[in-house]
Amino acid sequence: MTPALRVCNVSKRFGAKDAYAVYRASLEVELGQIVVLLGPSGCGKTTLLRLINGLETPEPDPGASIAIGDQTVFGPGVNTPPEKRGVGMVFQDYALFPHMTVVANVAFGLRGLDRAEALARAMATLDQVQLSGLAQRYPHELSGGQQQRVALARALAPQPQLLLLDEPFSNLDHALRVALREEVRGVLKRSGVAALFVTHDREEALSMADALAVMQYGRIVQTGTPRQLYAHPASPFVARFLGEANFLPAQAYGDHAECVLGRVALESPARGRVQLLIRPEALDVSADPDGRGCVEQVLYFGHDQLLSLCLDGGERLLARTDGALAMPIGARVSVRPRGPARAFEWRGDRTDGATETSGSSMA
Amino acid sequence: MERASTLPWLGRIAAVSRRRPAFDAGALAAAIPAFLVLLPLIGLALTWLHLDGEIWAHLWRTLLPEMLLNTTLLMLGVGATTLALGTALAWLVTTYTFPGVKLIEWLLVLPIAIPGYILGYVSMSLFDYAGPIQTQLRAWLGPDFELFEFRSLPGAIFVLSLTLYPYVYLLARAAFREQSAAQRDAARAAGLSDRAVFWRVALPLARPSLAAGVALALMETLTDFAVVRYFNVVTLSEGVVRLWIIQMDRDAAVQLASLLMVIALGVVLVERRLRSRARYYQLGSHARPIAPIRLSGPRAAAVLVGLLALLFVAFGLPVAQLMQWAVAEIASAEPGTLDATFGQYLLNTLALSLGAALLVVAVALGMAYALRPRGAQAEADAVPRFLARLATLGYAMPGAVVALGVLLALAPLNETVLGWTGGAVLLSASVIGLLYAYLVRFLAIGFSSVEASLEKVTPNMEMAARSLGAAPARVLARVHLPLMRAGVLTALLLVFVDTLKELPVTMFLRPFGMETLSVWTYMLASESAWQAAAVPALTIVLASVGPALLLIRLSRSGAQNNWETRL
Repeated sequence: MTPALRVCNVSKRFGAKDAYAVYRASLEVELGQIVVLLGPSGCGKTTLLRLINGLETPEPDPGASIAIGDQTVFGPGVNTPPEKRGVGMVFQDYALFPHMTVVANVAFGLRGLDRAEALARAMATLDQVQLSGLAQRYPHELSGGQQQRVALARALAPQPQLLLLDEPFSNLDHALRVALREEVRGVLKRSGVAALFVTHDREEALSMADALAVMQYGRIVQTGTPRQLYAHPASPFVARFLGEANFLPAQAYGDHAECVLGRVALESPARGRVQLLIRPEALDVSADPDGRGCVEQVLYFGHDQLLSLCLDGGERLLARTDGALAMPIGARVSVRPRGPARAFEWRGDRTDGATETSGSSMA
Repeated sequence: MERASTLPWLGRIAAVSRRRPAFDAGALAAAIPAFLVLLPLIGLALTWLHLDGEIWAHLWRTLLPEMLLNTTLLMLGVGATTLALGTALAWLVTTYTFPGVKLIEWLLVLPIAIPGYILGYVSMSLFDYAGPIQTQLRAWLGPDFELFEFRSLPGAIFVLSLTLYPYVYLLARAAFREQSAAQRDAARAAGLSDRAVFWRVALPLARPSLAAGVALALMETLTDFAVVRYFNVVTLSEGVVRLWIIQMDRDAAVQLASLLMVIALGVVLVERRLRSRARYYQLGSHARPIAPIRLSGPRAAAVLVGLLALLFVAFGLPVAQLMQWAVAEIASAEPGTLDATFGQYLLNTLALSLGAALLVVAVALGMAYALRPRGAQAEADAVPRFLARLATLGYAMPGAVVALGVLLALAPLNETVLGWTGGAVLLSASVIGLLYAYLVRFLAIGFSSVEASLEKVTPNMEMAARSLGAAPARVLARVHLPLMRAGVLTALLLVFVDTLKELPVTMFLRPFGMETLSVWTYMLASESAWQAAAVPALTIVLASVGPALLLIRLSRSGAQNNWETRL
């Protein structure tokens, strides 16, 4: 079946001398699927969205193409203007039309219908986001969360094949963001639209996504399900971007490696100098007067806690443990990795721009 | 010769736009108006290529030293007076509250509605030796009493300051309003007295706005030739007008105008300098506003009397005098004569003002729309934005400079058009030349209003509309224009009334026999036909009151930019 969106090898730079904002990006979104584009700010996520909806034109390249459903909207000799692409868009700043009522905003994209029909469709879409009661209000009379739901309804009303959401929740406070996340995911799933959702918030990404694409420096560095990416990151950058991570220098001997924590089994065979990825929750920590490390700092979350440990050799580790485990600062502990670890090529101190010390990722 | 010097410049722009496709619309929409506005100035500057030493020597031997001295003194006088008066009034109405302050806050802007060439002659009739005020004083104080020689430089400063202080007042008031209580509380907590708070916190914070206000007043001072002529003060603008219109010495007039242009550019540069790093307003709706201090009893009474006296001298008395004259004139006129002349001149004025307003706003709309922020490529717009700023430079130029510059710029075209039309149309003596000059002079006003209103449309709004299936034309019609309506109407009104009041450009460039209310008023007034001049003068004042009140609304709502980008 044709995917709702297929992007092939598109690149974009804003000046001949500038770096590429997007470089040879390829991406697919299946019908009804929510794909989250995740990356730090400035990685080219928003530019990629603008290339897809036609507000920017990719660099000319015979191999580059963008197809929405079965319609090629960009390719050799083709560049469909934004208004003919049938792509809905939801923005961080909502971008509602301030001079129109809520229902007029939602009906804006409903052309070719008579007035009554357009109004009925707009009201039905407002109903989906539970805002039909506010149809006659103006945007400035609504809260931020309500405005964003109106923006979602406006984008959904013309029943686009594809919906693009550009950091839609980042103007909202945390609690609202979490609530709206669930609601929006529900609305998207019920409407069956394919969605490409841009965010830099990993929690949002992991909880919204059917599939994830991680971007770095204008490139898509890995795609997959949230579980795949969390468990099997392609690079230390992806590993760190999706969650707290410890990287330990180690010597690999095929199926296992030796590091400061002793012998650790490897997910896949490796040899020579490597760095091991060990997630904080994959460490067993127990109080042990003869242990080889001590607790430096505790971030207590209730259901669990994040311990910052200092090994006697000076290495620092993050460990996530049950919140019930009482761990006073300064307590001696012993640390054991649980399950096989993932080995990455050793690159000295470089870990692809992600934060280096575990201390700073706790802060 | 302009052609040769400008083609490479356009070529460079074209080259840049080839490299960067997103660039050309914005660049062209800004480059064309910038080119049109700069052309007259370039035309004047090019006259330096063949400086006529004899003319300058002659000017230097005759009136130039006096003109320079008077122009300098006039600018210093008007600058200092408007600065002191405008700042003090703004401080008074923003820091204190007393009975009637809300009304007075609005009334204080009204004097701007009486152009200098009207206030000048009315004041002359009232305050001169033979006028009612000095006559009355002599009756009380003895026949030897003389106030001061009103027909003098101080008299001209007095009149110009009374009509121009509202520029400083409006901007200072907006600046003081935007300062937050927290800033002043912090200063008080640091041990500053109320007086020290004014001098060391409020005033320095308002400096950019004060500089902008004084610069506007100085530009109007530079452009004036009528007031100084009533008051027998020889200045540069007055000299240009005299050389051109009376002595018909066109070369000398042009040379003098180029000097005037340099001085005007100097005002712009000094103002820009004083305003540099100027964005330190405490903005935002969440800043706690300053609670005004209540004045009561004798202090409130003293303040009220002072303010009312100022309003009386600057607005009430002149308008009353004009009304009295107008009634007398209408009563004494032979039936039909006044109507016919007045009707014709009114029609000319309205047609010209409407034409100028539509032209200016159309160009401004095109510029603002092409330069609107469009998200990602915002940095690419630096050059067009600079061009747009150049395009608004005409506002700083005295009317005589604009008029002569336009004549020079159109001169090469004149020949061609004369040829085409078999001698029927002379561009520079037609309405086209006049409208061109109005465009040069008033584009800044139109552009700043339109641009400010365009800021209501965010780049994302436009993108949202496009992604909802609206082609650019529909986005313009459904999103941009409805949101810009107020700004466009404001621009139309401001340009309309500024054109209606405008004197020097109209004096120079009006087609033969096409009088306007402003020219008619000035002609009659300069012949001391005060009563006859009152009818058109009063019409101009009444038409200007509306926009004056509009200005205070604009400056109220943080539309600071609107004012500042005029420069």
